Amino acid sequence: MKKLLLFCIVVLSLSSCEKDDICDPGQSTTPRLIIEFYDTNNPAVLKNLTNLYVIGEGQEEALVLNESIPIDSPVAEQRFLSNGNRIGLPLNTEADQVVYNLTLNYNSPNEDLIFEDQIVINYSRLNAYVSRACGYKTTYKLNPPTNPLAPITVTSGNVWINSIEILQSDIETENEIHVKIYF
Amino acid sequence: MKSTLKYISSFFLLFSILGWSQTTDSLPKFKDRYGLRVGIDLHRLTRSLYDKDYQGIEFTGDFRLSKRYFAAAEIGTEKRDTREPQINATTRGQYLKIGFDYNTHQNWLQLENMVNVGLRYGFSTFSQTLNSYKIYNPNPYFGNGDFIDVNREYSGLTAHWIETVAGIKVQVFTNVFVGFSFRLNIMIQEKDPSGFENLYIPGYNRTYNDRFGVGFNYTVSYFLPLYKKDKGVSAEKKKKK
Repeated sequence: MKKLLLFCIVVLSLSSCEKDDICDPGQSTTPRLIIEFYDTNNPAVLKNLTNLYVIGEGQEEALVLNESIPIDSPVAEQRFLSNGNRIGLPLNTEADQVVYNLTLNYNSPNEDLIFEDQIVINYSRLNAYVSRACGYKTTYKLNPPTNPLAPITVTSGNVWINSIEILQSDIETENEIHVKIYF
Repeated sequence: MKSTLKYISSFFLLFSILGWSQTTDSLPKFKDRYGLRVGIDLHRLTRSLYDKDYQGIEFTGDFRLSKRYFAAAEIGTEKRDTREPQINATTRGQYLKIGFDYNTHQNWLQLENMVNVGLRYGFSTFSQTLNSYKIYNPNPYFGNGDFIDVNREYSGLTAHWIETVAGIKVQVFTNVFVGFSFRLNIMIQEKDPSGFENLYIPGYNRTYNDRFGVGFNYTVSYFLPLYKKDKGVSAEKKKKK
């Protein structure tokens, strides 16, 4: 009997070697570039976008800007459109540059109202330890204005974005606004 | 959390064994044997065979100080690979634990079994090599990167902790004991690598975010008798002569 109990205890203790932690979604990990949109004519006032559609250069699928719409919804394409005044753009953890095409009034029936601008974002990267479960994160630093590769520029289109202002060039958390775009 | 619960339930089982040790006064003509007991941890030894991520060995020793108190120590060396979904590291190092065991078991006649509780001070010196890691990216629009190889070694790491011990030792042949013990470890101080974290500490085991760890050993030991003393109070009187 005593030996049986002993055996049970040994088995119990050996079976308890299992992975039991996953990365907490609330944990601050690799951040996106947070952009807020303002009115050119009234620079202190936030301005809502109308059906902004964002796709990375060379990407097949557009960026999901409205996660509140379920993926199996009949209006699932609305997931790719933003009508708010703030978006988060993922940067590339394996490259120092991303190129995005930003289209305003994306699904407008009137083609004259569809404006597409292309922006290029240049930055440097740093990988930092987070935790056992999350591993590492990448934080970014937008290039200084003196760098020949400017931090953010509109490279083609230039039809709806009026100006870009960098508030915070260290992209470390999503809890702050990094860039203001006036349109 | 699951594993913690299992350990707690194991402790309950242990205490139910303790409950059996109802005492009766032993006959005075038997003498207690005193001596040194040395052993090896079979748990670490066998795990080195079946777990490709682990290599380790631990030697144990205890010396009887009085009727119920034993000076006790463990010394060991371990190498452990930590493979997590986001991280891969290898820890190598040595440890020493010193302290005492207290035998709560009242033996019948000549039996020398132990149901013991004890305390240890544990100390480890080790190094940790970050083999590779993955970037955690909740928005992998440009793809989720692969593991990045680094092979960076952080050496000169240390840790100090306290262990509470509960275990049993049963004499199976003359002078040969088998036993096991559970340990609850409380970290006092550890030196973390800068920009990284100790994922495993030799002797202490896996680290969690809080200050607690758990341990286990399963030992076979040999008792080297050195001298004898009368049981009970009379032994104390003799010592004063």
